[in-house]
Amino acid sequence: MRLRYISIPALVAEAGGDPWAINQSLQVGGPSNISQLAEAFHAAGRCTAEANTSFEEARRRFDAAWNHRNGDRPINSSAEVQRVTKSLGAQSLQLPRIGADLESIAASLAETQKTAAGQIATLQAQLQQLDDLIGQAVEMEKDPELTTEDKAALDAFIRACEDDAVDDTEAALGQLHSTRDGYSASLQNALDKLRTDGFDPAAIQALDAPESPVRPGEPVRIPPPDTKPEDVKKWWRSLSQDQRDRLVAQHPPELGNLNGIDAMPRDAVNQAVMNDDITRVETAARQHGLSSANLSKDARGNVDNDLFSNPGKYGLTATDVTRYRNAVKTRDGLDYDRAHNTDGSRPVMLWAYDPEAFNGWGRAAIAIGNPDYARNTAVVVPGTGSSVAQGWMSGHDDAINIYDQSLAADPDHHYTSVIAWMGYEAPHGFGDIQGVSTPGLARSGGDLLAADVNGLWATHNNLTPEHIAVIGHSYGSTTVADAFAHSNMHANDAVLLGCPGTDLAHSAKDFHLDGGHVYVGAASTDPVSWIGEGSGMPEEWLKQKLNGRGVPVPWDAGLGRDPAGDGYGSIRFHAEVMGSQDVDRHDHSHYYDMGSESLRGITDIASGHTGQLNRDGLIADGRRQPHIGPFRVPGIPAFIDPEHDRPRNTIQNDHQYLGYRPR
Amino acid sequence: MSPHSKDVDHPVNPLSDQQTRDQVIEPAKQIARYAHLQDPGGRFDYSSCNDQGDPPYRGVVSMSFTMRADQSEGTQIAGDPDTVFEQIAAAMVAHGWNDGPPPDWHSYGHILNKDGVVAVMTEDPVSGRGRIQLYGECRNMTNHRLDGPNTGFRIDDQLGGG
Repeated sequence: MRLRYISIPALVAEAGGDPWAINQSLQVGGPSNISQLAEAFHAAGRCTAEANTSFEEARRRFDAAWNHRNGDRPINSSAEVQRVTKSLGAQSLQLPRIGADLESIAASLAETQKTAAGQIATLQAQLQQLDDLIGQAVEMEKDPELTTEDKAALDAFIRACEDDAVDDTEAALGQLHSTRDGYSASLQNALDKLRTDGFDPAAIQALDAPESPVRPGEPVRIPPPDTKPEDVKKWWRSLSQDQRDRLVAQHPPELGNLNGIDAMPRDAVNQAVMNDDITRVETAARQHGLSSANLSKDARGNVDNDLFSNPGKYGLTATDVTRYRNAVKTRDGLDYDRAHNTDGSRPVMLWAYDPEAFNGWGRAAIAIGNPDYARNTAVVVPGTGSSVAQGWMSGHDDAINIYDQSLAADPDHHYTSVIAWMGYEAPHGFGDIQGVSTPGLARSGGDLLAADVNGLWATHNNLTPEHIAVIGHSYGSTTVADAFAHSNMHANDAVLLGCPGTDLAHSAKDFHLDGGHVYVGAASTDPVSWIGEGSGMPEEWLKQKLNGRGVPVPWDAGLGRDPAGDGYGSIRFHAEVMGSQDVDRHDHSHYYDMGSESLRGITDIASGHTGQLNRDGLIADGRRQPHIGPFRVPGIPAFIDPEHDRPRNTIQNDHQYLGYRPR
Repeated sequence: MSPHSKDVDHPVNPLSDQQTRDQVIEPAKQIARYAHLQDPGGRFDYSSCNDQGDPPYRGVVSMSFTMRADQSEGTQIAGDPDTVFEQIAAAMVAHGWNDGPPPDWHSYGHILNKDGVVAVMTEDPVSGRGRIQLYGECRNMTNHRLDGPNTGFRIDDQLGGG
């Protein structure tokens, strides 16, 4: 079987069980060895007619089913027979009965193996045929002459094939369960008889076909965080279901952040760790008569209280408090994204969680929709002033607007996922001059982003094609650019919003997109979008103007080229702020507004309908040099809000590469 | 559009919390009644009008309803969401709504607007239920950020549902 489009692990996940594993567990049995042993017993004793008939009948069954394959493990029949003969006596009538019982087991096992192998062969033939059909449809989709209707029909056909593949797998799984259950029942029956006849079945236990047993207490070593996601995936799939269940129940925090682990166990582990972080502190608080409602309110509002200031008095540590505050904010994010503005609830998962990361600013990612099954996944990367500790996980609608609109945009309702990714350390505010004006955090963040996004490809089920768009806002767009240009991130499309410069990426080519594009939303009234090089605004003049107004933008502010420039190789889409006439720092914060042309453009890209941008009339011209653009230059207001008295000598061109290792 | 929407960050005439709620809950109640929404449910929330979670806020009602045929009245509403939405839109237009988005509104869905409120009709692909979201104006300057993760409440009883 050579499947090009259908993935066995994905089928297994969809079908809820692994028919191949069941078959494998049956095929490891050695029926011919059991048969040899049976023969030895049969020959050793004095046969009654009854025992003889039973044996011969079982023998015929065995011969009919046994496929004479090699590789069975040898068994020392004579030693085993001698041992039993000694204990029962050579003339015992039990010996031939044991022979008949054993031959019956051998026959059942051989029959079971034959049946299971046939069921798997049938399944594989079905899958091969479906895979070939999908392949033909995929080839046909490449035809540029196809109409939209043709493409939709082909898509529908591919989906039907995928559904059939899952149905066939489920059916085979049911058959194999039934086959194995039948064997288990007959084996149990035969073993009981053997015991009655004075034979210890342990002697053949290695020869029948158990599911590989888990040795209890054996610790499972989790691969280190920098393991390739493909290797992590192999490791995870190599564990038995029982081992995986046990690990998830133990919820070691590193497992929930390990790329290559499927989203569902990640979510289960991360939420369990988060709940521990909350329970630990609230239990201690209750023991001292404090209300947990007030405590979570204080955490949410960054209000101090006695427990937060003096955790030792409550038997807690400062780390416990840091974890608690970020846990509450993460839980708020799950609640907000799940229910806010909807009647039903969105499917949220905690895809990453490390509340102590980045000196307590925290790391977390919430996925709305399971990315492992999504046709379209959008990763939303925020910018300056965003962190778990600063409350980014809840209170604004970026991710949920993209999610809701992507579903509304897609008439076929392909499964969609949007990940609100607070996975790096962003500058902590526009007052964080060094952070804002140097690319160090964008580069180290780019590494983390690339690792997470590349991990999505490893765990994605191969039944559906995957399209990933990575969307960065503000400093987050610099991080996205660095992830592509410097950290080998693999995704289909990039979206840069209000970008202050693309650092190590000097043009769209540096993103190494395979057929996709760099899309840019840059409002003409968003000052941050102008500080990249080559934006059309004479930057020295701009900075002089700002410095003259008491805004100490460093002379080297700006984080590289402006991707909205027409020489960049990007596609710019309309992203103006409704009603805005002049440059306004607020206009940096409206790209995800419901109803905005910017959100419309983002939705078209995130939902994989990039052709729709043109049809919606959303394509904008890039910024040109030396022409200054459409807006009034005089009277630019102070667009950032830095610490005015920050000494100039603390502003350094510091390109240090900040490292981060998940705990 | 109302003149207040022209500068989204600096509303000239802010709305109180009560006015913000009324602006979307009242029309939601009316629509549920005159469009005969089946088995309606919904909630109200305050929603920040920017990606920082800062004021101004707007009121948002999100309500959902079953898109099945109403046999009791003898009408046969087709299962096709577009047809259902068109019937609801016709009822709304009869009550003063404009069919279509206001200027500068570009979202997906079947859009109507009235007095600065925008209605967006979509289908929830998971539940198969119809959904109408009503977006009020960005004129509430209270900081609702610290209200907790859910700044709103359910309004099922006001919609006549369970």
